[in-house]
Amino acid sequence: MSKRVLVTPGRIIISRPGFVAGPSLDDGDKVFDSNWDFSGAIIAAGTAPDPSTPITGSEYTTLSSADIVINFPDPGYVPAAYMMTEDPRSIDVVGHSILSSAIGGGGSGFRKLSPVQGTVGRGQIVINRWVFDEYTPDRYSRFHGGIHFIIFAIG
Amino acid sequence: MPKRLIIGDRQGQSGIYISHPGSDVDSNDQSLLLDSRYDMLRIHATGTVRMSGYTYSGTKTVGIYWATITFPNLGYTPWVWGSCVFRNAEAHDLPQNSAYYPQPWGISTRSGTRWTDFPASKLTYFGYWLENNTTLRAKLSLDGAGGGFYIDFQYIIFENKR
Repeated sequence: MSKRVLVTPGRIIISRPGFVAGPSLDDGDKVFDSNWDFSGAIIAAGTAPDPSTPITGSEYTTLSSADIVINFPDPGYVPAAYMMTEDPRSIDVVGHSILSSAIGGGGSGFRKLSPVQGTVGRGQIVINRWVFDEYTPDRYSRFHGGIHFIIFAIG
Repeated sequence: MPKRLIIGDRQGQSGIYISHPGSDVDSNDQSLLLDSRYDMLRIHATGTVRMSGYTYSGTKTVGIYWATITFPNLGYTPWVWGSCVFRNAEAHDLPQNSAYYPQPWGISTRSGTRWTDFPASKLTYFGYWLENNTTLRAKLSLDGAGGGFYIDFQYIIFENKR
């Protein structure tokens, strides 16, 4: 069995199974090295549903202008975060029926997976809605597929 | 050298804490390299696959590329991440070995009242999605290009729940 943990003044290294922990070990063969800048620590991850009520006939539109707020434990600093939303429909891209299920690997068509813009603070992400279009200023975008988020312990 | 390791009590919460190089582990307004209060990103599967290509010849020529990844079922929907990489020396206006991230609405300009399709690049759409808890799919299109380019799909499937 390999010695997988090295604890020395100023350095802790944990190796992958089968590798001896040591300062000359390749990073790819380590589980952890205290000299790294990131170890995979995250504060939270998951999916936040859009709480707004959709209008009749469209799950992607709402009359609510209320922001979507995702709360998480305040780490004492403003962390890095990444948000995406996914259109759960299996549809063709509008105007691009060539991306349909009929061509290219079968299965569904092309699902839209989009980065989401938001404001990240200590313990909270706020995501603003945008007006659906200028002709219907009382209607706002709705994230029918919810907001997928990862909050990194980086700040 | 700052103090970087605590195994035990830190500000009233017991755990294992390691600060970033050069940072004091007692500081409470900076992120930590290891913080046992929180979860870790855990990787379930990673890989790179060459996307299949198809030349669509209709009102215009479009290259359609796709990939299907199957992976062991975790019993829930995991976080995934992906990008596409162009391997050709000249894949139209796309630099070789450059990576691109999802362009689900197309590379386009916002005009008037809706997203319109005036591509700024030959790469018009790229997206990936989970078909189910064991299948990851990716698809992209190149306007005015065929299906013969070498385009890779790179992915990471995490063990963390989405």
